[in-house]
Amino acid sequence: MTVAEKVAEAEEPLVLEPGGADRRFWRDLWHYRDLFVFLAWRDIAVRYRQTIVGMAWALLQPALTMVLFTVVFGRIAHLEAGGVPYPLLVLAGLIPWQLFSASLTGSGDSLAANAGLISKVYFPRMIIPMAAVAVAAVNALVALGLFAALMPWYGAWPTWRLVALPALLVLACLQGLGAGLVTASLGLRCRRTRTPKTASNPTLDR
Amino acid sequence: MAKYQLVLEAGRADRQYWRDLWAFRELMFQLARRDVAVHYKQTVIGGFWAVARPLVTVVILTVVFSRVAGLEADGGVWYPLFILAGMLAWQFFAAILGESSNSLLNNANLVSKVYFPRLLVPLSALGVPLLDLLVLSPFLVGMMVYAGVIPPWQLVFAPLFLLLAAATALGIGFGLCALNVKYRDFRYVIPFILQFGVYASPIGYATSRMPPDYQGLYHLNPMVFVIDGLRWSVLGVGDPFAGGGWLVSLAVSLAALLAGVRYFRRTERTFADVI
Repeated sequence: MTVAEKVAEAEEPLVLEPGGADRRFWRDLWHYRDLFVFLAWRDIAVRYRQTIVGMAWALLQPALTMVLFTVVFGRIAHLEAGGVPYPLLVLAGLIPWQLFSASLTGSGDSLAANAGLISKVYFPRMIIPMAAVAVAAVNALVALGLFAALMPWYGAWPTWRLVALPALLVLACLQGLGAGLVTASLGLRCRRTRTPKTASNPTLDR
Repeated sequence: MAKYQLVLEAGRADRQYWRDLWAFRELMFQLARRDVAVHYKQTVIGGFWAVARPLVTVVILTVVFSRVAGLEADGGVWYPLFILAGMLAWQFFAAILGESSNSLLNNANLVSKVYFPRLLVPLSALGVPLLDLLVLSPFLVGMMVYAGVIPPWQLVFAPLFLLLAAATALGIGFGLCALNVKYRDFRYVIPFILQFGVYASPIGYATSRMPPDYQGLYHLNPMVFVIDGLRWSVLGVGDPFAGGGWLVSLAVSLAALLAGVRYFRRTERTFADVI
């Protein structure tokens, strides 16, 4: 069912009136979930289908970083991993961090990137940054696949605490979204808020 | 310029490319001046980022590598100073690479409308990084005074190492911005290279700390020689010429420059159609 059909079918037709967006923001957000799915799907498709490297890039990025950090922090800095194989320690930290930072940068740039849509029709604007977070979540799932494949290789097995994983990943998404909503709104006012994330800062960058 | 008469004819761009590049130098300065003005005037925080970003990174890398990992700098130099000298070279390189690789897309309107040697566009990306470097270097001098480090005679070579950093960054930047026109995906690759490079270059640690079995591979990163060289010339520590690694780094730099210019020149004529 399309958004239009849903709107037509709904008991209350959509009436745009002053203050309407404030009073029924959350209800509208639920109402427009189709749009969320559609936007997220579009971004994921662009990321994974139309790029030459596509999926390979989503795997290559964490894998290369894992190797580099293992050499730099394991072999050069001689930091302790507490009995865990060092590459696994790195990757387990890298996945939530990349999820957070990709959610932040993705949602932060999303409003400006979808300016055409915003200036034309009514819908709860928060759907756009939320869809950007969904893209980051798919990336994280790909990296988790890599992690799952490496665990038996290093002879490490998950415990019952694995059940906490989804909640932790959702938390990382929400943190990224929360910060991203602020930068996205600021970014529309002064475009340069994007600067800190684009250059070479390891602390702020994705 | 007034007497310069421009005749566009088939094959012109190939025959007198470098002469045209010189004739159009004014345009390059104009583009660079525009970028600098935007960067430093119209931003809310202005040139603040040029200083804050590297300095925050220096603090974090100092904590991680000096306090947590307990590493020592070459020649026992004060660790933050050791890192800042590396950061200065890296930031210069990274800024040129970042700016130049996006430059063609940022100037798409200009590229698709008038004739000029396109190489001017990524070249003009030198302006902002140069100014950033000027803004940041007083901090290096201040820290050297504080730490009581007197620059050695090699200081005269410092500009050469910065030139090498710029040449390497421009070489890669020429290639990437030409690729960017055709395959927009390279936008995703560049931030990754820049972030990866912070740890894959001897910024937080000394090159000598890299285990011997990785040294050959490590020197494939052209910035290894540049950063070691800049430290050697400014702080007088380390030996960038130890082993044969620097020859590899230098070769990679030159190869990147040649390959970048070549690829750019080959694809240049199609820019206006594709962009």
